[in-house]
Amino acid sequence: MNTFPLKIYASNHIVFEGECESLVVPITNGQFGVLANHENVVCAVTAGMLMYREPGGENQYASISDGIMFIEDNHVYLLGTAIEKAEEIDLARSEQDELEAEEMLKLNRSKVEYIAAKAMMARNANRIRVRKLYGREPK
Amino acid sequence: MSGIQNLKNRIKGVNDTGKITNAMYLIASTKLQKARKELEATRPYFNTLRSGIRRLFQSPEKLDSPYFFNGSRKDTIPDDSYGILVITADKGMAGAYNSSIIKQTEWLYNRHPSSKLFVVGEFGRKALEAKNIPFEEDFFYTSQRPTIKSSREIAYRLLDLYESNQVDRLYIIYTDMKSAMIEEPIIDLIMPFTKEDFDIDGDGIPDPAPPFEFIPSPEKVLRYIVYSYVTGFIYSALVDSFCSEQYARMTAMSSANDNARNIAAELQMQYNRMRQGEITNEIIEVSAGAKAQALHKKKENA
Repeated sequence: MNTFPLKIYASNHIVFEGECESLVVPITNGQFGVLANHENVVCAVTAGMLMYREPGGENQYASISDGIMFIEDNHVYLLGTAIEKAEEIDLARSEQDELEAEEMLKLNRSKVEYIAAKAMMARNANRIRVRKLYGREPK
Repeated sequence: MSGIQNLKNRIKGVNDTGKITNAMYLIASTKLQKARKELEATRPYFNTLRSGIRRLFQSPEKLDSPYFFNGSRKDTIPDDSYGILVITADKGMAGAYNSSIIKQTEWLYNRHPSSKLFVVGEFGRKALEAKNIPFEEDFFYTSQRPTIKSSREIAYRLLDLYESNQVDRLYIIYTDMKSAMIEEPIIDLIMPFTKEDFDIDGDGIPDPAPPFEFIPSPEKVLRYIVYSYVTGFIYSALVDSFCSEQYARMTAMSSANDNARNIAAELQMQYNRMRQGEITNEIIEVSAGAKAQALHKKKENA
């Protein structure tokens, strides 16, 4: 299978750098799959589940909060504000943050805070989902 | 005797202060190491994002968006109102770190008095209050632990201000650790983007790259990029400032240590002299007394 160089950077650490066979990212209207030699694209990435596979390896799952993907000349750059590999997600903290977001929503304050709380809820709901689905090593 | 006792107490006091400043020095240096690592970790993300935005400037379609400004960043209109994010420390004892940021803030504010100030760090709030410069009261962030979460909140708030046209530009005032030795206060434009901000090679924007497809739409993609970029920018500025703060504190404390050592040595010298003087005095008294006694006895015998 053809491969392409992939770089996945979260804002505070490097998630992955290397050759990759297949990549799936969440976008506003569903999932976006990337294989080798994709055309040039700039793409808005939303909160959701991220999947990538190294040549001959198994599918790797991670959660992404929001970000951007650039594809240029077969080079793929995926930039996410926060990206966590499924097994690294802190379930307790995510649940805590989700509750906090829920409370913020109930306070019914300004429009900015409403949007921020909504987004925070979505991010944490997604973290919890990814952790529960893929958090354990496959048997 | 009281003079000597005083000196003794002072020496002890100076030594104790030295212990405290030394502890502060050590704390600052560990914090600095940790923060430096965090700063390094943000670089790949940030540099890639920058070159991505640079690519967008090259796209053949003209980018008509409130986020982009085709003029130069030096073109300013005097009465524009700015949204200014000021990053200071939570406490003092860090040399000139806080005061130089406050100076820059005053300078920019005096030029654009209708600006809104957002202050990170307790020290900055107190200093601006003392100078009667108004700032947003409900904006509370500590400079102690820069996180993505707080950067995102700050970014959302500032961008909302910008998008609703309450301010014309967004600026950030922070301290950049240029190298291991130099740190300087910086006033930087966050919004709108100008071409020269992303002119990384310095040789102008090169020829248009092969066109990109925007998914789902150019507007949406731009919005995402802007939010990610501003969040990332604020995060790295917070971390950068935190590094500088720790470094400034380290230098301030290490010179405080030196001072304490010098003062203690000087006082010790004074103390020794005084003690020696007192001993000499006593000896003189004793020997004079003995002499007088001897003289007295001689007279009696005679």
